[in-house]
Amino acid sequence: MTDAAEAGTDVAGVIDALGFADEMAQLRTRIADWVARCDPEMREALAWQFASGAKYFRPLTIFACHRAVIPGPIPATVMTAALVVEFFHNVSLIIDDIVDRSPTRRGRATLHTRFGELTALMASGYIVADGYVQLGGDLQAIALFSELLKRLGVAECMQWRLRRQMLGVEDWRRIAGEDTGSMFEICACLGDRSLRLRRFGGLLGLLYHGCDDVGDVRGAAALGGGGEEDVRDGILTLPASLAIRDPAIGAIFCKPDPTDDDLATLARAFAAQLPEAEAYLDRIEEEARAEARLFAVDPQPLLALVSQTRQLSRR
Amino acid sequence: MSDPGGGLGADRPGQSDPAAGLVAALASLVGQGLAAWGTAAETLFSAAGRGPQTPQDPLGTIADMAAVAGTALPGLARLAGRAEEGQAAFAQVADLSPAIAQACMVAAASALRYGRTIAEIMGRHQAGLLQAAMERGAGETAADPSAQRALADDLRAYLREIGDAAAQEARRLQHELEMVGESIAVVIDEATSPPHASSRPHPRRHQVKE
Repeated sequence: MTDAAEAGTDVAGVIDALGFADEMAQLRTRIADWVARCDPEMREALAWQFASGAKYFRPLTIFACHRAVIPGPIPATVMTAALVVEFFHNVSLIIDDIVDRSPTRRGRATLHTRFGELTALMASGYIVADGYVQLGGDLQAIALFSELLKRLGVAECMQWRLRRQMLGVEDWRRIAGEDTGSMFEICACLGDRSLRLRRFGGLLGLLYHGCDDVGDVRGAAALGGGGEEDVRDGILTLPASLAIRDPAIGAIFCKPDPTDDDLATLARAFAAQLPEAEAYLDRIEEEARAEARLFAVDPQPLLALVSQTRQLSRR
Repeated sequence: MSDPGGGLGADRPGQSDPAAGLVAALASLVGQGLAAWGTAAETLFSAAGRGPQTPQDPLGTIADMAAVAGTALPGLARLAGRAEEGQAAFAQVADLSPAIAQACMVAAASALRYGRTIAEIMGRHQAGLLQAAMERGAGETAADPSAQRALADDLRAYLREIGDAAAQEARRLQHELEMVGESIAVVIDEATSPPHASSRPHPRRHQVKE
């Protein structure tokens, strides 16, 4: 099964589990309509970027957080927020792929590989600008998306500055909390609008980030990424933060130009930490569940979301 | 102004003040909490057998707060007394005593729950904390760098969890008091709305969690 096909199966499973099939169909239609109306100069690149294979975890988080607080159909403002969060998520993917020099994502060429860096960078700016247009007069959403963009920018710089350093699990938690954590935090706020589920969203993002790290070490293709770039670039993942407690592993991890043997040693050391990493993720999962039970009117959609996210490291 | 509490509006007998009853209960609750805090600080001092405190000393800080509590308590008692008059007047409109009792219960349960959570966190990290204390007491550091790094992670996690617990309990208390506030609003709406009113002036936006 190809990466994209496997990811597609996962998407269907998650959507079914959460019961948002109609909303997701609407979202896909809106994305397709938006691409069709884009400037012809950009259209091909944007169609490539938004082609199927996405997991739509972030829109699902918005829908689930809304449903956890307010019953009934998903209103138009929440649907638009879900559309724009998928826009902004794609912007972060485009930038990540350029920075990581990733040739493929979800089994297809990355945008900069296919169309060049200039087009990829300009497309990301185009997406952000049109995202704000989509939000219209929704001032709360505008403020939340602005917070998101700023935090993602800071997190990316922080993650890059702190690479190849002997840091700990708490440092990983801080970086992941600002990176993926901020994205899901904002999703939660966009969904429930009372900010009551902000902390839940942060924990869900942390869980997602950790599962992604562990899944990469397991060689999981379901999450759409490989872990090779992170190992090569000395990025502090959850298994890495546990493994580099060993000074010998830490010394290799901090090397500016690791050899292939070094990378193989690191990969083995990271794999050896998987049980402890899984145990750590179990604790984050429990924290997220406790938040859902405490602050949601109906925690069931959130608990389902946590369960689905937690499974991502086990594939 | 000779009485800083005079502006709270409880000194007009015969006129109802919807907030007075709740203010009285909360003022009493804060007073009780501060008194308990002061007692706890005195107990800590006795147990520790300490003399004069330095500004950096946590026990000294608690003692300062206890002193502030002692000063504040008479004022709070006056406030509570005046508010009781308003509460009696307000009872003519609607009986809010269950909501006030509920607010007191929520606050007390929050304090107990917070203490239990802190104890749980300390219990979970006890091994690491004890190890660090013993090593420091013996003037040595752990020989194994890996163990040292694991210990550092554990201690940092302990500090974060203590902070997280405080933040979470504060949010939980806020959430639960909001729910009590919602129930007060409902009581007032029902007591003061015209019999055939089709809509309330301040409809609740969110469902209240059971």
